[in-house]
This record gives sequence, C-alpha cells and structure tokens, in this order.
Amino acid sequence: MASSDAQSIVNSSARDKQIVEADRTNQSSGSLAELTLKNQGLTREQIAARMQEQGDSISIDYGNGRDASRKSGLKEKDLVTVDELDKRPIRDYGWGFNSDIPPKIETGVEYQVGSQIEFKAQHNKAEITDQAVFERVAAMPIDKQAQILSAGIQAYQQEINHQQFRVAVGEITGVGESVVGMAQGVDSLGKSICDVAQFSRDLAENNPRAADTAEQASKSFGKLLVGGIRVVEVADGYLGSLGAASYEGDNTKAFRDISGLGQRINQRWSEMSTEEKTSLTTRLTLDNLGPIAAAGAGAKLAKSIDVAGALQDLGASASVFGGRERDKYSRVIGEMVEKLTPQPMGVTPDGRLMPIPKDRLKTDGNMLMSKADDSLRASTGKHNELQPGKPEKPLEVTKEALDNPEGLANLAKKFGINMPPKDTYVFAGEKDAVSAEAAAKRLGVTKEQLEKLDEAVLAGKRLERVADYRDAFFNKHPGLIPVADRIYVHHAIPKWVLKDYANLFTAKELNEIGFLRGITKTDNSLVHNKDIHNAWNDFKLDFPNPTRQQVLEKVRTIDRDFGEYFIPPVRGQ
Amino acid sequence: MILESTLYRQLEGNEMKYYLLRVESAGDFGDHAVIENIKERPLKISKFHYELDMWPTDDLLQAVGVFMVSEALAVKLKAMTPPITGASFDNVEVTTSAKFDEWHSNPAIETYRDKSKLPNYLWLKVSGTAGSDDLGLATNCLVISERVLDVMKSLTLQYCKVEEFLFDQKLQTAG
Repeated sequence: MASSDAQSIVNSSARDKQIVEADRTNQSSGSLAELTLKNQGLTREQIAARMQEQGDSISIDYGNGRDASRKSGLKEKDLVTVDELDKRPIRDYGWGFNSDIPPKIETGVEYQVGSQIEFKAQHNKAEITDQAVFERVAAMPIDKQAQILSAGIQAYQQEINHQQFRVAVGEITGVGESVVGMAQGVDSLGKSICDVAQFSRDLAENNPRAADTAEQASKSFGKLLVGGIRVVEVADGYLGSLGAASYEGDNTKAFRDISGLGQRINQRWSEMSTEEKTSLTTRLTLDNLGPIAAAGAGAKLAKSIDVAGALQDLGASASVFGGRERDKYSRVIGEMVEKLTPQPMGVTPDGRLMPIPKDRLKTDGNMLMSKADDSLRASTGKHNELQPGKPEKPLEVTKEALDNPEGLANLAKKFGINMPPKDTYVFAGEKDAVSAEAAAKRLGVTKEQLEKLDEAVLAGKRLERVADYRDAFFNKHPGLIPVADRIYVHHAIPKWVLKDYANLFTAKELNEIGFLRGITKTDNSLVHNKDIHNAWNDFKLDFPNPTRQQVLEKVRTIDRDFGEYFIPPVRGQ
Repeated sequence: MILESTLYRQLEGNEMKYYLLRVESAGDFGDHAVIENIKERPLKISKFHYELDMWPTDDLLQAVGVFMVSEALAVKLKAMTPPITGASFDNVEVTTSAKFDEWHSNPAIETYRDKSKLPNYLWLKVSGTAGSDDLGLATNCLVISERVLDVMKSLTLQYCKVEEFLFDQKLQTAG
C-alpha cells in the first residue's frame, strides 16, 4: 500500500472513478430484468430494444409529477439533491398499487424539505445489509415506520414485484436505488413482517401450519426487534391513533395480527408463575447470552409485566451491538416468542382437540412422528394430518383413521402400544407391574399356565392381572396414537400407594381408564408435572396414614388445579 | 431450656431469623432405601436411596422429609464458620426411574436432558432443633437459620417454598 500506484488508487478522485466506470464493459443499471436478458445471451442492442418495449416496469413517484423510470429518462440522482434523506420529514400520500400491466407501485411517500422537494441518493453505499435497512426504518417516527411496514405487507400479500417494493423502501429509507441490487435487507423487512403476521393469524385461526411457521416467524420477530423495530408498538400505534383510517386499502388485518401476537404473548406470560418465568428467562438468556449478560437481561425480562414491551426494549438495546451479539439476542427473543405462543390444536381421529407439537413436521430422521406419518399415510394412501378446528366435525378424520385399523395398529406398534392391551401382573405390596413372563418365572409356572389362572387363584398368590396402563390409555384414545411418543401417561392415584399403603387400593383400581392421565412432553408440562409431584410429596408429609377418601380427595384437587393440562383435559370439581 | 434460650435471645434483640422450607421433590425412595416405618413422621431411614422421577432443579431435594443436597451445596455448607449445627452428611444412592427416562431420554423431544450432567448428591441428615440449630425439622418441614439460607440461595432454590419461621411455631416445636 506504500507504492505510488496503490496510493493513486486509494486516493482516486470522483472523476477518475467516472472514467473507469465509463470504460467498464459489464455496466449494469441494476435492473433485474436487464440482467435476466443478459444472461439469456442477448446483445446490448437487443437488450436496449427489449427494455424500451417493456416501458415502465418500475416507476418511483417523487411527487410534483416527477418520477424516476425508464420512460421518463430521469434517474434518482437527477432528483435527489440532499444528503441525509431519512432524517427529513416524509409527506404521506398513502400507498397505492396500480394493477395495470405492467403493474406499478405508487408509493405516495416523499421527502419534504420546506416547500422544495429535493432528493439525493447515497450512491456510494458500499453494502446494504438487513440491519442497515432495519436501523433506518427504526430511526423513523412510529407512524412512518407503520407506513413502511404497511407497504411491505401489501407488497408481499399481493405478491407484486418485490423489486418495486425494494426501490420504494430504498427511497424512503435513504438507501437509494443501490438497494435494488443488494436489497436483501428490504426484502427481509417485508418478509419478516409478513412471517410474523402470518404466524399470528395461523395461531388465531388455529391453523396447523403454525406448527411449521413458528420457528421462522420467531426468528423474524427476533430479527425485527434487534433491528430496533418495535414491531408490536408500531402495529398498536397504527391501529390506534396514528391514522389507520387515513391509509387506503386494508392493511389493518396484518397489523391486527401482529398486535394480537403481542397480546397473546402477554396473556401467556401473565398465566405463568414467577418460577416458570424465571426458569424460562434464565435458561434462554444463559444458553444464548452467557452468564454475565444473562444476569441483567434475564432478570429484566422475568420481572416484566408487559413482556412484549420488554422484548422490544431488549431488541432495541441489542440493536447497537455487533452482528454476532445481535444474533444472540435475536435468538433469545425468538425462542421467548416460540415458548410464549400457544400450540395449534388439532382434532384427533376420535374427535378430541389436542395440541399439535410445534416441531412435528421437522425433517428429523430421528423423529418418530415423521415415521408415524409415513406409516399411516402408507396404509391409507392419504396424508393423515391432524385437522384444525373444533371437535364437532371430526367425521372425515375419524373415518379415515378408525376405518384403517391396520394403519393405526402399525403406528401403535412403532410406539410400543399393543392393540388390544396386553396383560401385566402386579404383586401385592409392589408398585410396578411386571410382564407375564416375569410373573410366571417368579411363580415357577409357564406363561401359558399363568394366563389360564383366574382372578381368585391369582389373588391367592397375592397377584393381580391388569391391562398395561399405557396400552389401555391409547386403546381408549386411538386418536392420540399418532402422537404417542409425545404423551406421558401416568396414574392419577400414584403407584406408591400400592407399595406404601397396601390394601388401600387394588392395582385394578389404579389402572382403571378413568384414573389414567395423559400429559404432553413439553418443558411447560414438565413444570406442571413437577408441581403435581410436589403436591403428592406434601400429601405424604401431611397424611402419614391416609384413608381412601383422603387420597381420592387429593386426586380431585389435582384434577381441579391441573386438569386443563391433561390430554384429554380433566375437569376437577 | 430451648424455649428459654429462644426467648432470651429474642429479648436480647439479636435473634437469628429462621425459615421454614417446603423443599422440591424430584423423586421418591428407591427400592434400596431402608425405612423404619412408612407411617411415621419424620421418617426414620437407615439407608437412603433416591430415585429421580424428573430432572431436579434445586440443589436441595427431598423425599417425604428426607433431604439430600448437591455436592456443590454440601461443600459450601461444610465450609461455613462457625460450623453448621443440627445436620451431618452421609452417602445417598441416586438412580433414575423409568418415568425419568420417558421424560428426558429422547433427544427429539424438548424435555430431553443429558443424564451425565446430573450432579452428585449427599444425604443431608437433619437432627437439630428447629429455631435453635442451623437445621431442624418442624411441622414436616425443614427449618434453617438465616445464614444457612443465605448459603443455599447462592445456588438454586427455585422450587423451594420459603417462609419465615415464626415465634409461635417455635413455641409449638419447643413445647
């Protein structure tokens, strides 16, 4: 770099650069259409003719009858004359979409300086990143942010040329036309907003697609927030006093969806115990941010009442960090959103609602669910999705699944479920059931001899024959077989009762279908399971010699307190 | 004598505060536990076998009023000066149940936990008098002094319900 040649390159003047640029044979106007034609092998002249025929595929309205387009011959640089466009006020004409052919966006936004409208792009931008665009949008007043996001929503919802949207947002945010060539940031802005809105809508409509889109939407939400864009606040503001009515077209739905997501997150948050909140925030911040940053961020989140607001604050504070740090915060926010949004519910073949596991459709070879799907699909010849909606009309699903006992049996086999339930044996004073083989061995008889013994004879040998409780549960609820690997089945009357208080209940009673409870294997359910376990431990402390009635009363209170988390839900009195 | 001692210290105005703990239970007695009488409280056991049914959160755990602490907490308690009163440490056999495996052994499910990361535990044998010793038992709960609570709080006590051990409770215990 010390040589004179190198110095002259480094210190080259604008004129030097223009000369070099004019000599360049691979010049591009930045048009994707032109690039496509080039790639098709057309000559410069052929391309020019085709572009002329094409007319105004893109027209940016700068107000006062001035627009930049191929037809007008005016370029952005002809119209833009000031440096920091994004800091100046924007005149609001709303956002219009002209569906003529070729389609045309009428942005209806312009920078306004006094009575003169002057523009200048920043052509020397070396790189436009997602973060740069997000930050520029975030730096604007909330109502202007709403305008941009609204434009992004419309562009994506109507599936119009995204390039047009990129140009428009490039202008608004001051990144200029250069954004067209390197416009992932702008694309990302519109897409992120739509991801979040769509996910929220899927949740509201209980669309099982939400199970698939949750991860992407959560990432997008995190990305927007660490970009400094307070997306929920923008949506709330748009729907509130900032003039939703003044915008043409109905983008309020998407904003309602985003606003609804904020409310949903806050609702779920308010239902969580302090312990659950602390556990969740501590784990997420520790895993992603490390112990030092986690101490502050985790505590702040855990103590918040408006968690959507706290997440936006966290994102805004992270927006000043470098890329790697921002990514970490983005992950925390995304994972928080995923944990705080409800799982979509599906109708099982036996007509009941149950949550569809969020990662159900991940292409993970180790996941039993995908195998389960394959198995049932192979037998039915149809895709056996859990169906969204209410359980009143499960007929088709029920018919499909239950009319296909072979497919269901294959699935059951994969999950170790016997149809019909197999017999197991419980010795008096023991809590766990054993297989027929093990029981026969202990009694010194063959399995066949054991199976022929009637209950009276078994009782004489201090033994009870009971159906395997897991088999019994899934035989009773065959609609849950496709998600059997995600459900933990337990006894409402704990098994230790048989061991610690023999003669209080029989094994048959404990294994009655009415005393079996299913619970999904999620971290949230694990918390409930832990609470239930602790409740029984307290019971044991308080009732060292309980009666049947006291045990049954405890079952009733646990059903009352936790019944809603069971599958199927149990209503305790 | 205990009552007199407690009253005297309270009158003196420098009484140590005590706390009543409802400790997390993440499992139950395993088959190797030797329990004198299951219907007696507090339970008397001569061999402690703890079978984990779920991943433990706290550094202090119990099964029906019999306690164990993580090795990390045991080290801290043993290092206290003056030495803690009302408790000693012994070995505990810790295993996991089929229920534990069903919740935590499938890597495809979010409740998966790496079993190798379970801490080591020691049996915390509580023999002291509630409200007098650093560790004691009252109304089926663990009662600890403020200085022990401070040490415990330096680790994890998320599922442990803590409330102040009141003077009335001390009277009952002493009586």
